[in-house]
Amino acid sequence: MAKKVEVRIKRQKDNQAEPYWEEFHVDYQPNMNVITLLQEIQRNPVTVQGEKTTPVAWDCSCLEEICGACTMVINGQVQQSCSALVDNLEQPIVLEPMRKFPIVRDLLVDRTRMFEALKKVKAWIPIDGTYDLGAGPKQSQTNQQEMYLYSRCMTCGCCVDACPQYTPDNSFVGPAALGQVFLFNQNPTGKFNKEERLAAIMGDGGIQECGNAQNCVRVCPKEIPLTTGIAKLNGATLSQALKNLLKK
Amino acid sequence: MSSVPESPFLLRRFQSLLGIIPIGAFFCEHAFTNSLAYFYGPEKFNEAVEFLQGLPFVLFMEVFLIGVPILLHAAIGLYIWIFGQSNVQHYGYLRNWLYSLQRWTGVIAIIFIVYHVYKLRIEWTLNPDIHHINFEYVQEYFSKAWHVVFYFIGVAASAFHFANGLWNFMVKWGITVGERAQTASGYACSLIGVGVFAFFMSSLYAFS
Ligand code: SF4
Ligand code: SF4
Repeated sequence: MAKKVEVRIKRQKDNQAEPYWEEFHVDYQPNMNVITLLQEIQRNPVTVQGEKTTPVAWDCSCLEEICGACTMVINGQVQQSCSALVDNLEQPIVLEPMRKFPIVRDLLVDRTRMFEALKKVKAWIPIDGTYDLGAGPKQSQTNQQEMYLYSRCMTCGCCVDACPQYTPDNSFVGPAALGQVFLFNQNPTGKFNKEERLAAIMGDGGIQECGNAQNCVRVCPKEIPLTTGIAKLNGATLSQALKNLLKK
Repeated sequence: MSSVPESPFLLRRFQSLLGIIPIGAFFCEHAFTNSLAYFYGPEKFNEAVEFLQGLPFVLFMEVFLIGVPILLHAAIGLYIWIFGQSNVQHYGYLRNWLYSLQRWTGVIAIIFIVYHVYKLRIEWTLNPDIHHINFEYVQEYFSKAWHVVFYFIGVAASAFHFANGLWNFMVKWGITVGERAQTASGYACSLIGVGVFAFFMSSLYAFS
């Protein structure tokens, strides 16, 4: 008999519905990841009890830990399902949706709040204009190297999922958005809009909500030094706030 | 508060500052004064109390430099607690534990402080027969076993809250930024916490 992989999945019909659990036994294949498990279930959605059920909904796109779409909670740890290899996981493999976002269906969540946070903190460099702005200022290699770390963020949401200060009913922008503020404020062209970004993270849900639990930096799959960025921003935000108080 | 858009940020930094100055500073001074009872005996302790109680504007200072800051720190702290949601059951990292413990010890500390201030500061002030507190008075207080236990727990919670708060303060004010600096300050703050706790415990030993 072929080896089976035991999977337990937390399912939910829609945002309002009550969650429930279903168990599946999937034929083992070498080098399986959680995505292939879910694809097998999709092909043949029959539970351990032999009952036919609906295919499990989840999100995925790039399949190489670059897009962040397939993030879910696997055996209690938030991570990408594409890079979660079955051989490395304890069984039964327990799949749950991310904990901080509204659920669309099953393992599929709505991460709009992260996008809204990026908009709120102005995580971009405005260079549109009526004429050619020419080349930007030069920057040092060291600065480039530091910025590169933060530029790898894929808005997967692992960090906010693990952050105790980020809850479904508060307004914290979260570590990912703060990391992006750091990135764009560090950019020689992005610097021109530094004050606007710092202003955005001084208001409600801003950087002050970080409680230094430092889970974000532990779970970030891109190993972004989020807490270092936050600490640097802490200093920058403080001096900006004091400057505003005294000069505006 | 929209006229001051920086207010949410500044309010929280104010809370963190209060925890160090004046509250933390007073906490250390308190440990030092108490420990005199152990290191130099009841005499010196009584002298120190006499000196402190004889300071000009002492009541004003006690209320506005100690009492009010503690209450403000606690009120804003409670709001901070309600904002977040502890998740040590999912993520058992050390820093995450410290994050949650910071909240729990804060509550233990404030309960302890309220009782402590009532019993050892307010009660005798209302009693016209007592001039002011001295070694014997405190010794009498610690004759109840549960007062000793409560003191131990209350001081342990406060010392932890102070030491971990100091670590947090340095991150929040952008002083310790890198991982290495934060690890080093973690050791330094632990040492400070244990030190203050030990000073208080020496006095507990002397009193009971
Ligand atoms: S910072 Fe890391 S964990 Fe957070 S969204 Fe970006 S890549 Fe994901
Ligand atoms: S360090 Fe701040 S942002 Fe990161 S998990 Fe902790 S509270 Fe959240």
